[in-house]
Amino acid sequence: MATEAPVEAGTAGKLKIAKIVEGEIMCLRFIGTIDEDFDGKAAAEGVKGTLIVDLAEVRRISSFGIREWVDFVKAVEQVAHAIYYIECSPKIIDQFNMVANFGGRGKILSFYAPYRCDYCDDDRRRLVQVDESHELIKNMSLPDVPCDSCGNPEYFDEAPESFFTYLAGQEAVETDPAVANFLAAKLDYRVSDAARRLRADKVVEEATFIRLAGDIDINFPREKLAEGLEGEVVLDLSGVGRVDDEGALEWTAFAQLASQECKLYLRDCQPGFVEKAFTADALAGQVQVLSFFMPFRCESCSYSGAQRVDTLEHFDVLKFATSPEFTCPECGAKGPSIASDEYLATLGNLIKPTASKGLVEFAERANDQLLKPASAAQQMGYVMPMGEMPTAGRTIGLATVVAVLVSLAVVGVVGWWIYNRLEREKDIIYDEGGRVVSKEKKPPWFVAWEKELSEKKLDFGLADDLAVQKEGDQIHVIGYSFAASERDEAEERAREAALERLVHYLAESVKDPQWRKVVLEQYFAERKKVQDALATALQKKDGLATSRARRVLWDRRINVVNALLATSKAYKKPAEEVYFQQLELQQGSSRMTRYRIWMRLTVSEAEAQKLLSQFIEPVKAESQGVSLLDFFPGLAWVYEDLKQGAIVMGLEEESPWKNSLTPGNLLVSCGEIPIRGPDRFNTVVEERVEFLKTRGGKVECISKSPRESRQVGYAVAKVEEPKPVYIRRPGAGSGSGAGTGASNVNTWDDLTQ
Amino acid sequence: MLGWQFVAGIMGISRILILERNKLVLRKVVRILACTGAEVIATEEPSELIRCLDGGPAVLCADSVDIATVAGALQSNPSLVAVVWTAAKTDPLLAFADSHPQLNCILGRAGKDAAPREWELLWILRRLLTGETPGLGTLLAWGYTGFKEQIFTSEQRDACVEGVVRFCEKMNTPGRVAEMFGELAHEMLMNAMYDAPVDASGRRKYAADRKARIVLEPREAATIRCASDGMRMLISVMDPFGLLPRGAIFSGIARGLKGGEMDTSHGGAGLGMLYIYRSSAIAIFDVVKGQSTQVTCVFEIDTNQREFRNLPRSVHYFGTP
Repeated sequence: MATEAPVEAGTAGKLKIAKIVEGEIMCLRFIGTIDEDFDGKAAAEGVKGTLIVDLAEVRRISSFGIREWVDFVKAVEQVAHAIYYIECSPKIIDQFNMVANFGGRGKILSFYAPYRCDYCDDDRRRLVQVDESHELIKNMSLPDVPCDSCGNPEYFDEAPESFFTYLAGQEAVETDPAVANFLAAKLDYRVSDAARRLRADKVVEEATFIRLAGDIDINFPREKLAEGLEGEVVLDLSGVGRVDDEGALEWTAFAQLASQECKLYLRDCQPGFVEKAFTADALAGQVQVLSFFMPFRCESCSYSGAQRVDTLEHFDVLKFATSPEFTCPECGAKGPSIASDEYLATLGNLIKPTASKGLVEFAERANDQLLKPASAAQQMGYVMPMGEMPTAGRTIGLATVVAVLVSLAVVGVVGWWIYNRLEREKDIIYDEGGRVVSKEKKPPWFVAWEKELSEKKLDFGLADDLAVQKEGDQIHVIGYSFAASERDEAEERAREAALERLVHYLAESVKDPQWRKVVLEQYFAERKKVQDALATALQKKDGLATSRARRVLWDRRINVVNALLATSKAYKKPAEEVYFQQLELQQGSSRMTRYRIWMRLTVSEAEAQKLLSQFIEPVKAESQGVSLLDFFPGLAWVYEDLKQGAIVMGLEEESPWKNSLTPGNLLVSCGEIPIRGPDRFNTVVEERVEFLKTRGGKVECISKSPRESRQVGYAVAKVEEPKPVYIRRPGAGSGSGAGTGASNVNTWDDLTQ
Repeated sequence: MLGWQFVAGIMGISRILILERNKLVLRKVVRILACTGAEVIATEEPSELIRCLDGGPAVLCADSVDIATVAGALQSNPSLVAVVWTAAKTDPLLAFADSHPQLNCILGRAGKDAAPREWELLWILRRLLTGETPGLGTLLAWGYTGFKEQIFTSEQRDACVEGVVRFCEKMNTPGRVAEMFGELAHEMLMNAMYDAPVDASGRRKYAADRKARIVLEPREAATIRCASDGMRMLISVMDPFGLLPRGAIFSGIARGLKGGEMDTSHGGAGLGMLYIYRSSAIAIFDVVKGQSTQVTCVFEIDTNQREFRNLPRSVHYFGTP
């Protein structure tokens, strides 16, 4: 993650400037008011290389502040070879338009366009990327967009011809890839897609070196990238920016695929990549990490930047998921990384690198070559922008034709071999066949269940309907883990599967149609969709799609179980029975062990009803005219980040919420206060209403549905308390404070002088 | 402070000449100005206006499309005082006003078919005709609310700026307007606290160092007023020196609008007037030489920023001769 060193500018502390440094790129983030307290020349000290100025949080700028700002810009122009302005607030765009030379030779990469929804009476800002919206800017027209809260059109609340005066005159900006990478990797800043499209530069000599630059997302070309890899392969990830969840999944599939054919080494992994892709699965097999970056901030001088870690050198520290000590490049002070616990936890998955010195040197050499102009890299090996085909040479001689034909033949043969190999590997890797080596005897419940599945020709993972069995007043639920690399993990997955199934069984047992409508129907379709995706993938024998669908299923089940544990007052750990298998899977030339577990949970009918009762009995918020339900854990299928809240079951005719809520809405907070359940809703809202009666205003809650989150509420009129009429007379003195006292009507002493 | 009069008042003007080519607008303006009690002579034809000029004192009201006629009339009749309204940009009129001391009131109006704001028009003409200085409350509807504070120190200034923002928020003005008023309050207070104070020999006391934390003497204190009637937001800052020259207003704004050229010769950035102009629908400058300078900004709350940017601004200057 990007780290910041806040530095207060000026004694009043109205402006903070956070500095983020990475090599030759520095970002200064201005937060607050730029006025006479801002010292432009002082702020420019230490700037060098490429400067990125983040102006999203500039609240106000005074005319004298402009003077200092212009001094700042003049000073940094002397020392920075490029200046980029990002996320300029409307206030800043005003200054670009109004003040000569406000930005110097710097370029605006993005800005916030002010938008307004008259219906909600709300001002908002929307980020506009200059390169993506170049035409709109030139045409001086930003389109209306639907309001996030009410859906009515929200309009661009500025006069376009004046707002775009400066921007329309700015030439198209092509972001330097290094800057784009810095923005994405260090600032978590969304750079335009074009700038972040993944690019792979490759050098093939005694080993293979690939330098990736761009974002890793669902479009990550894992198969294309893995194609033809063999021997030792070093992947340089210093140019990788964002890695989203789907990208991490794709990366894992790539790493597993590639590591069958080659020995894979990763170098210079960026912090964002480490967090997402240093999982046990992604590093399984022969994947070794040579080096990576850890976020660092110096306590002494406030320097902020990522520090490179040589895995081999620090392995003894890293294996305990702790940070090595770093030396600040600015002042020499020592200190650890400021990486989060989640980040550090991933380091435990690293294995000790065994790369030879020669390979490390080759990687350095290849990287240096690739960082030189493209022609040099092409001479050495070849450069392969992802998704682009190599172009033919300008002159074609006989030798070239022969060479091309031979190459085609070789490529065809190799391609056929790879295709067959992949087809074969797909089954081996991702299906769960393999050889069962465990000697454990199958328990009777498992035998009976297995038999039933076999008769119905169902896969273990798809036996949703058969996973629940009733025996007297006992309810049995079976959960299955799929193959996991650790036995503990398999057990956890099986338990989660069973608990999720129990939750869904309880929901299906509720007969009240209104409850089913506002709770069950909200998540039922999503649950089915995820299960169907897995069924389809299994049916098609698509190993990677299966792996992906399973992961989605796991994630959702975990959500549901977490919600159950967080919300349920009556949950007791059910009785568990386990059957486990150990598998030996063949992957290419290597073998690996996997575990799968079936777990049967047993709860009594009485316990189940007790568990359920908390979620089906509506609580009436009398003063608000709303009936509410507790957050049912099954809803975590559609509300991924939520574990609590109050579901609207019904609304009375006179309810003040009648126009803004509908049954099924999930209320999660009122003002800043979270609504942890229906009981809390009444209390929290009533307190808020009482408070607003003293000054007037709107009681507002965040209401969620699976598709949107909106602010809902109603106006509360100020209830005036009778006060004595007080009229100031001339000479009675001035006001007691700006806006702090009660504002009576016509109380100025000299307005009618 | 009391007892002084404006130019027109001294001259005892009792006649208003109106030149407006839009018949409907003209009719409305005549009705409004009839309330002043003055003799109102209205025409749609510039050529007829010339015939009405008899060399006597009068207020000439006209639209900016007839600015050439107005210029000619002012040149040939030194006792004329002009009031010009415009539906186009106010910017060109500022340069004109800078070179024509008889034009001190420019009224922005919403469109060619709209009359100037009736309350503003009447307020301006009343002042010109009578020389009276009505209180700021007359710019708002009866029932307004607001606060007044005297500022002596830099710390008080900063607290007051935040107070203005809080007041705007309390009045339920949009967030951007609240921030704009905070910025405006800061700008106006900086002018009143750092630019205005002079010592006995007339030298500026604090202008050289805007970064200095200062403590004004009681006689130097700036007074800020902020008020609203729910439709308009008003902010006014007064200093007890009365040294703001007329030229600094019209030429200061015009210079800023020309391309944001800064003027750092007086210690500041020279953009203060531009700030005031850009942030208010109506800016009123009252200068009593050697006694007080009061700058008042009025903003119409219902105007969104998109409309506001295109809205022609009103600028009025009232100063002792």
